[in-house]
Order: sequence, then C-alpha cells, then structure tokens
Amino acid sequence: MKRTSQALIVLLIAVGAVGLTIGLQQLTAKPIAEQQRALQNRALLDVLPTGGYDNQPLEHPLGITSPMLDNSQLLGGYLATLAGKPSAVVLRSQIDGYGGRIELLIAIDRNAKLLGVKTLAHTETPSLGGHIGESGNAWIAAFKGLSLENPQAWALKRDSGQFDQMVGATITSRAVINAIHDALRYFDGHRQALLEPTDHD
Amino acid sequence: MTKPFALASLLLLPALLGVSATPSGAAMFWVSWMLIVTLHGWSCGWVRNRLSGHWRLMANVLLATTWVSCAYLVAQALAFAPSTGLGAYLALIAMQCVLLEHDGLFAANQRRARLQLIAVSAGLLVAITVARFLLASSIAMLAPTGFILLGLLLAGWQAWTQRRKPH
Repeated sequence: MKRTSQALIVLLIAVGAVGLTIGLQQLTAKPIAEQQRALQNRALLDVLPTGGYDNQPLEHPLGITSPMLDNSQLLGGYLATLAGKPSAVVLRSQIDGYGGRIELLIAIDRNAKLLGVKTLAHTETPSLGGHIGESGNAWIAAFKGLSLENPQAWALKRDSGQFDQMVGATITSRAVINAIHDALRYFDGHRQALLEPTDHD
Repeated sequence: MTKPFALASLLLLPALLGVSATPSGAAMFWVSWMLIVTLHGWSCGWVRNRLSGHWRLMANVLLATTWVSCAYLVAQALAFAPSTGLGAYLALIAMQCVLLEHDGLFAANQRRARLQLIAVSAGLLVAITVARFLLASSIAMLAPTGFILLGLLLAGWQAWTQRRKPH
C-alpha cells in the first residue's frame, strides 16, 4: 500500500516535471530563436561599415549556387543596399586550412574594394593560425581596402607575393589569402549579376 | 565547508573556472545556481517526508533535472549570449543537487552548512572573475589560468588560516 502511494507521488512529480519543462520550452522558444537570430545577424554584419547599408542584407541572399572556385568554395552571399542602391556584397566562402575547413565572410563594396573579412568558423591551431578567429586580429584587418589590382600579386611573400604571413601559420595564411583572392575574382567576373539581382521584391 | 559536502561542492569547480572568464557569464551562472539550489532544496523538503529509499532518490533526480532544464531555458530567453556556454555546467549542477540532497544538506538542521556553501561559492567566483578581469589579457581568458588563479587563492587562504591558528 505504502509502495503504491510512493510510486504515485513519483509519477506525479514526473508528469509535473515533464509538463513544466515542455510548457516553459514552448514559452521561451520564440524569444530564444529571436535572440539567436539577432546574435547571428550582428556577427555576420559587422564586416560591413555601419551606415554603409540600410537594408537587412541577410534577407537578401544572392542566388549563388555554391560554385567551386580555384581554391575555395562560395557557400552563399548577401546584398547590402543603401537608399535602394546596391552598396556592397557579402560572400560566404569556405576553404581548407591547416586544421580543417575555414569559413570566411568577405565583404566587397561596389567598387570591388574589400570592406572587411571575418572568420566565421575554423579549427586552426590556437595561438598560431587560430588568431584568424579573434576579433580585431590585425592580420585579417589588413585586408580592408585592398582589391584585385592592389596588390598585384595575391600571395605570401614566400610564394613571390606581397603578403606577410601569420607567424607559424603558413598554410592558414595561404588559405585565407587564396579564399579572398577567389572571392574578389568571382566578384569581378559576376559584378553585374551580383549587384543587380533580377529577383525584385 | 563541512567535510560531508566536500565532494558535491567540488562539482562547482569546473563551472567556477569555466564561467569566470566574463563577469556577465559569472553573474548569470551564480544566479542560476542559487535559483536551482534553492528550488531543489525547497521541493526536496516537500518530498522528503513522503518518500523513502529509491523512490526518494528517483524524485530527487527528477526534480534536479527539471529545475536545471527550466533554469537553462529561462536564462536563454532572458539573455541568450551570456547563457550559451552555461549548458554543460548546469548539467553538473543537477548532479550536485542530487548529491547535496542525498548527503542531507537541505535538512532543516544544516542551515549553517548551506550558508557556508553559498558564501564560499560566491566568494570564489567573485575573486576569480575579478582577478581574470584585472589581468585582462588573452591568457587570462583560458581555462588553465582560472585553475592557476584558484590554486593561488586556495594557497593564500591556507596560509592565512595557518597563521591565525595558535601554535
């Protein structure tokens, strides 16, 4: 008798626990998803200068169908506009680094100049190539303002190019430079289609 | 801290080292921890006289996991960014709650031990967080630094208590 009543109490607790958790989960699902999205947006969009766009670029994906470039692959892209005119393109690029895939966000303005590069994901060695994932990393920040013609040779100095490498991270440095170079060339080749997408909303 | 609760209290250690990297994460963790432990103690008080043996343990586990899940959901809904890293540590808190109840920390006569645990956890968390904040270099953000700082704090505490003891 005592046993059944104890089992009943535990059962009641279990039902109450499940009910409470599910109820709370339903209640919090929306605010959590919203905050998650806002956080992602902020992370994605800080490659663009504030004031350089006034639309929601993430809601304007470009019709890029994951093309394989020379060294990297484009995963997608977004169009930023200012006062209704295209101001910049943000490309998501993926390339093999030293420790695995590196995912980069590369922002290019309408004049084909780099606005910024940001590392979204990487598995490079911490304190060596892993520096690319740190916000405000000087090596990554130095790409700002460069374009396909400036510099002439998009490669590391040891590959007869014009870029310094990150200390102890030749492969990571080379991968990032190649991915950015690929993105700039892709932009150069598809400028018209990227800046003036046909699907008007 | 009284000896019987040492093992359960040690479960706080990974969290203390992990969440002390940022003040917001540390504050978030401590508030969640307090809330969970309080709710668990309160709900187990209700269960204690009605259940015995493995039924009590089952209810103990159920309650601990429920409070932890709920606290994690609420923490995420209120402040998503600082609470993202909390998940693993909250799972350890569930374990800690079960052990603490099992060892009898929530019994009516253990008020002193409860207050001690709360004071020690808050003190350690504040001390480590402030120390890391003051160091403010990228090294201070790594977990091993938290460990070293904790060691230094404990050594300092040892030295202090040894000195105060009469020879």
